[in-house]
Order: sequence, then structure tokens, then C-alpha cells
Amino acid sequence: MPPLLEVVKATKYFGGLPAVRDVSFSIEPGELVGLIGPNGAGKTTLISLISRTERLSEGEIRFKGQRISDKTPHEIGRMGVARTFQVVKPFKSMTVLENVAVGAFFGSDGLKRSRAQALDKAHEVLRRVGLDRKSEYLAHALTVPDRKRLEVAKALATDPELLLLDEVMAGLNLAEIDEAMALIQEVNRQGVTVLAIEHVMKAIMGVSQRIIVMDHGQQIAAGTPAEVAANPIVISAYLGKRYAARSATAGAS
Amino acid sequence: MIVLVLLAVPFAHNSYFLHLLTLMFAFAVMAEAWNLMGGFTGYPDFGLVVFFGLGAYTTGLLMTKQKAPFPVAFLAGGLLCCAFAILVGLLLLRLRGHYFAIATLGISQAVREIVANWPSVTGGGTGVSLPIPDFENNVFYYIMFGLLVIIVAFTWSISRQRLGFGLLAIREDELAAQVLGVNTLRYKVTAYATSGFFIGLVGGAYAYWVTFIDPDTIFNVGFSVEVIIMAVLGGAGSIAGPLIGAFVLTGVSEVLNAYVPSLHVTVLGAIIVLVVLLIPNGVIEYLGFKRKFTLRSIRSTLAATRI
Amino acid sequence: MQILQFLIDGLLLGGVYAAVAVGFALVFGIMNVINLAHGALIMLGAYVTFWLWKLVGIDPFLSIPISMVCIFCLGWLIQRFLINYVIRAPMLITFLMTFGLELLIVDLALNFFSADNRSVTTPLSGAPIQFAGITLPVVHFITLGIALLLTGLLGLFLARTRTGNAIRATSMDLDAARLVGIKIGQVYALTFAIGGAAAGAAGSLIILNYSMNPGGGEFYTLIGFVVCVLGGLGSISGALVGGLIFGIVQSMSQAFIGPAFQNAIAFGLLVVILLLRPSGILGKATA
Repeated sequence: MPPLLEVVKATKYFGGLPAVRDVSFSIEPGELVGLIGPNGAGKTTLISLISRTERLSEGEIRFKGQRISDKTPHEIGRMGVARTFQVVKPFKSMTVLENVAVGAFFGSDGLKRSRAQALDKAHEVLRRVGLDRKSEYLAHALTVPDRKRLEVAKALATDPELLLLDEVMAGLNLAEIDEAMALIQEVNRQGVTVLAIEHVMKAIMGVSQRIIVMDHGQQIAAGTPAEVAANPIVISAYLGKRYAARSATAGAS
Repeated sequence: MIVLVLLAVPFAHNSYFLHLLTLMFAFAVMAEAWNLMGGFTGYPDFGLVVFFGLGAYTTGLLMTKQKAPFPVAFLAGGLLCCAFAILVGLLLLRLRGHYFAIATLGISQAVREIVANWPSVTGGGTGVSLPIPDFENNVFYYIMFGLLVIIVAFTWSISRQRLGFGLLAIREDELAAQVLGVNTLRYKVTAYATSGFFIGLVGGAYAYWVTFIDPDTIFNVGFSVEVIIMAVLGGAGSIAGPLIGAFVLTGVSEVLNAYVPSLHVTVLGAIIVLVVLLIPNGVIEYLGFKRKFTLRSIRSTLAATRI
Repeated sequence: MQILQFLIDGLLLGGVYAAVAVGFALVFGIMNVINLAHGALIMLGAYVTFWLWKLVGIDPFLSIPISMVCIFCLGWLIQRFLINYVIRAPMLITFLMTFGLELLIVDLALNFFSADNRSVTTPLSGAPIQFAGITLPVVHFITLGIALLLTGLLGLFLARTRTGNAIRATSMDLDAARLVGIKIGQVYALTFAIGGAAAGAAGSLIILNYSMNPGGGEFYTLIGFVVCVLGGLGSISGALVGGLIFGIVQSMSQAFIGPAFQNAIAFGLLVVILLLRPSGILGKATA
């Protein structure tokens, strides 16, 4: 069985600048993979390349063995790849329920759903993320953590096989981060493969089975959270070469 | 109830009233049709008059040159507009917001110029004279009324179904809609073609009703904006809004024409400015008593969009 | 030789078009407002020149600054008390507001000025310059010069003066401009007013070269669109270049295809450019 997602030598140029350079990795079904790296590393661009909201300059991306780099974003959405946006994109004049219903109407099984079925699905997803009580609120009236929940709910309503999360935890307080971690783990347990970009280290290191690290558009390390945390290249990328050298000598002595 | 009353109107034998209501229904259909693109999908079509004109000319030319019977010519007008909308839509719907608006405006004027300068096919500037209808004006009343019922029912029904959700999502955030699986291009073209179809039908019926059409009146730029104002005045994006706006504005226009004929465009312009300034979301906001029209509500409306 | 004449004619026509488009481009570029009443303001500028010439005998060329001042004031009022209140609303709203203003202004003009076509004459109107077989009507030639001058002055104002820089800063980043203390409301009012002044000048030039009636402005709003799209929406130099090019295109198409489909070609060109390169000839290419 082919991996769920294969990224092969993905490269993206913006003008002359390579935002993503020669990145290759694959993700097996059921995995929960974290994607970390300093700001500007190209993580969001990579997600955009997978969901096809940006076009590859070179390389290839395959989902379930099928080449998706030439498909349109909506086709990929229907195939079972869902994503959230770093700056959330709620449908502001619609209610929370209607927002999620859009996902239910158009996701992988969505085209077969009737209105009643779509709304039921929307309610079910809202319950999972904890927003069901606010289903009649207008989206623009939600608080930041609720908007993040809504963003995830919309994606979940499409019944994805692969969920791409882009800094879902940004702006959340500690308690909310714990809730978000629990939600991501539960979603993963129910069979959804997750690739999550995060900056909140405690959170992402805690839930991921595997971590990929990017810096300046390239993949600089991959492995279990423990391996990656000890990797001097990673430390150097985040904290600078001198700190890495210092902690290496400190560790040695 | 109201429907029954309206159905009975022709029997009151008041031809002025009949004429007025027929006109109101016609505008209401077009306002509702525009609403599909401009209100629901968020792509304001500023060239909607092109469909009105194409529908009118198709009907007129088929009836005069091909001696086609009215029902055939009428439907052909609508279908031609549908096809035109699909072709043009595939090109133009890749443009965002105001580029789309300008482009539709450009297309409508280009078509006007072509029609006006192609006398061998379209009769050019002299226009087309349709045969006199062999039935009474009642029929036109019912045609327009029927179209209105159909389009309102259609709009109401899709607003609750997948198509409506998709269109609204496109309006709110097209990219977010796409990643959720909405085929935005197909949906936009569908809305555009439906809109064009209905407007084309109105144009076709109108042509037979007035029996004479020429490029300058039938493809008039201001016409597009009048219809848009009706939808906005009533409440773009709602179901009943455009209908209400059409009735109100047509009525006001009639009154103005009767009492201040030389200044009626001035007053119309002033009304448009005031509506846009004070009730940009349309009167429908105030009709459900969800909001009262007070000084305070005006202030908050202005505060929302001022510098 | 004939072609050269058509080219020159086109260039001269383009001068007028450039003058028309510059004000439109400024308002669109800085405030993202498509001013559908631009033509009406042009028409009023033309009438200022006309009435000053008819009633007081002022030479039309000399009345250009006066019409500029008049329409400047009107533009300032319109922006400050009307458009400023809807400027953050969706584009549709400002479109509709300026359209309503256009209806209002044109109809009032119709009532007060009558529908008659008006024109003016100057001592220079008669003798054209002739050289190398080319005829160069003097008035047209001076018009081109004035159009270039105005565009140049506007460009300098925006680039070199403090106020001009404030205006440009506002268009680049509204919040940042606010944070450094720029009063946005005033900047916008000023910008629209300058656009109005440009419209006034264009109107005066038009009535000098051709004629004007209350409904005549509408055509020029359309020209403003087409030229700005051609040259790059929002770019002043684009308006100039676009205007000249469009003038040449019109002149050539009139020469070779005949006057009939001229406007259709104009609109067709508009649509084609929007599809292929919406940023226009001088605009920045969008990704």
C-alpha cells in the first residue's frame, strides 16, 4: 500500500526566491506528524503546495498514490485532504452551523448528502470540537479560540483522510492548548492522518509520533520528538550556532 | 393571500395599474436574478442589461425574420442568454470583484455597439418592430408574475440547499470555499447563467409587450445600475429584499414622473445617494423589526464604513 | 504620410484622453474608489469655462485654473461629506453612490443649462500649423502640452511634497499612515479634490477642442476606465501613456476600419486587457 502522502523533491519559487527547496518525505496512514521550523522556513508554503492553493515549481506530490500536483484545490478537498489556515477564514455572515455545513455539503461524501444530513453532520462535528452550543452564533461574533475551533470543524466536516493544520494553537492560552492537543489526538485516533505546523513546542512535541523540521525552505531533520530535540542542526536553526556549540560542549562534559 | 389578490388584478380593468404592476414584476424578476450573482455570490454584475437586450433582440428578430411564434422566440431568448453567460462567464469569472464589474460593463457596451452597427442582422440604429400581440396586456402581466413566482421559489429553495451554501461561501471567502471542496468556477458560472436566463426572458417578454426595441434604450447602461439599486435598496443577499426594492423604486419613480417630471432623475440620484449612505444593507434589515430606524442606527451604519 | 497624420491625430486625441484619465487614476489608485461621476465633473468643468467665456469673455485657456479650482472645491465636498462615509464598504456601495451623484449632477445640469451642445472659440482656433504635409491644429497641440504639464506637475507633487507623500503613504498602508499621524479623512478629501481639479481641467480642454452638453460627460467616464485599465489602474503615468496609446488606437481604427465599430473596439480592448493583464501596461504584474 502506498503511503498516504508522498512529497517528492517539492520546490517552489516566488520570483527568484526558493520558499521551498527540494523537500521530500512521506506520511503513512494514521500518523500524526509535526512540522516545525523557524519563521519563514516555508512550512505554510509546503501546506499550500499540498492543498494546491499554490502551484509547485518543481517536484511532485502524490496522495494515495495519485498525483495531485496538477489538480485544483477543490478537487483535492473532495479527495480527502483538508486544511486550516493560519489566519482563520470563517464565513463571517453565516452562522457557525452554516459554516460547518458547507464542509459537510462539499467534502468527500458531501455531494450525496441532503440538507438534513449535512446539518446533522455539522452538529456532530460541532459537538466534537465543543462549539455545538454556539451553533446559531454568527461566525464574526466568535472569540479567537472559538474561531480556531470553527476552522478545524469546517475541515473535519469534509471527512478528510489527511488533515493539514497550520498553527492551530497560535494565540491560545495554556488551558486552550491542552484542549486543542486533546482534540488533535482524538481526531488522529479516529483514523485521520494529521500533519500539523506548530510553534508551541510543548504541544507539538507532546502529541506527534514524528517530527519534520524545516529551515530556509529545506528539510533539515526528521525523526521522533526526542531525536529532533537533541539534533544539533535543529538547535542551531532555532537558537543559533553558538548556543548549539555551547550545549554540545556542556553535554559532553 | 396576497398572491390571490395579485392574480385577480387584471380583472379590475385598470389599465394604468396593470401596466405599472407588470413593470414592477419585471424589475422584481431582474433584481432577484441579479441578486443571485451580486447578492449571493458576491460578484456584482454591472452589465446585466446585456441579457435584457439579447433576450429582447433574439425574441424580436426571431419573430420578425423567422416568423417564429412568441413562446418559441421567448424561450430562445432566455436560452441564448444562458449560453452567452456561460461563454462570457468562463472568461470573466476568473476576475475578482471590481475587475469583474468593469468587465461586465464593458461587455454590455460592446454588445450594444455591435448590435447598433450591424444593420443587416439587427436593424442597426433603427431598431426592430415586433408584430402586434394578438392577446391582451393581461398575458404580459401573468408572464411577469409567473416569472417572479418562479425565481423567488428558486432562490428560496437553493438558499437552503447545497448550491446556495456554496454561493454564499464563495461570497464570504472564495479560497476557503475551494479548499472545502466547492467547485467555485462551476458554481459561479451556474449562478451567472441562471441570472442571465431570467433576465433574458424578461427582455423577450418586454420586447413583445412594447413592440419596438432599439439598441440605445434596450442596452442602456443606467438600466443595469437601476436594477442593482433596487436589489441593494431592498437588501442584496436576502430573498425578499430585491423584490421589495424593485416595487419601492418603481413606485417612487412613477410618482416622481407624475409630479416632478423634469427633475425626476435628480431626485432618483439623490435617493440612490441617500440609500447607499443610510441603508446600505437594504430596508429588509428594518422590516423584521430586528432593528429600528433611528438616529442611533444611522450613526452605527455610518460608523461601520466611514474612515 | 497619411499614417503619420493619423498618428499625430491620435497623439493629440490622446492628450485629451490622458487629461481625462489622470484624475480618475488618482482617485482609484489612492482610495480604490471607482468614480462613476468623473464624467459629470468633467462636464461641469467644461461648463465653467463656457459660462466664463460667454458671460465674462474670459479666454478659455485662461479659465482652466478657475475651473480647476471650482471642481476642486466640489470634489472636496463630495468626498468629505459623502464618500468618506462609505469608503470602507464593499466596492459595490461606492460604485452606486458615485453613480447616484452622476445622475443627480447631469440631470441638474440638464435643467439649468439646457441640453444644447456648447463650444467655445479662441483667437487661436483658426490657423493650424502646417509642416511636412502634416496638419497640426494649434488648439489640439496646446491641449496636449497642457495635459503633459498637468500630469508632470501631479507626479512631482506626489513625489516631492510633504502632502503628496502623505497621500502616497496612505494608499500604501492605511494603518501605518494613521499611526504616523496622517489624517486619513483629510488626505482622502484632498485626493478626490485633486482628481476633481484634473477633471475640471479636462473638461475645459474638451470644450476647447470639441463641444459639451450635459450628457456628454458619461462618455468620458468610460474613457477614463478604458485608459486606466490600459495603462494600469491607479498609475498616473499609466494614465498618461494609456491615454496616448488609446488615442492612437482610436485614430488608427477610425482610419482603417471606419468610425462604426470604434466604441466596440474600445470596450473589447478593455475586456481583453482585464483578462490578460489586469494590471495594465505600466502596472505591477500580480502573481
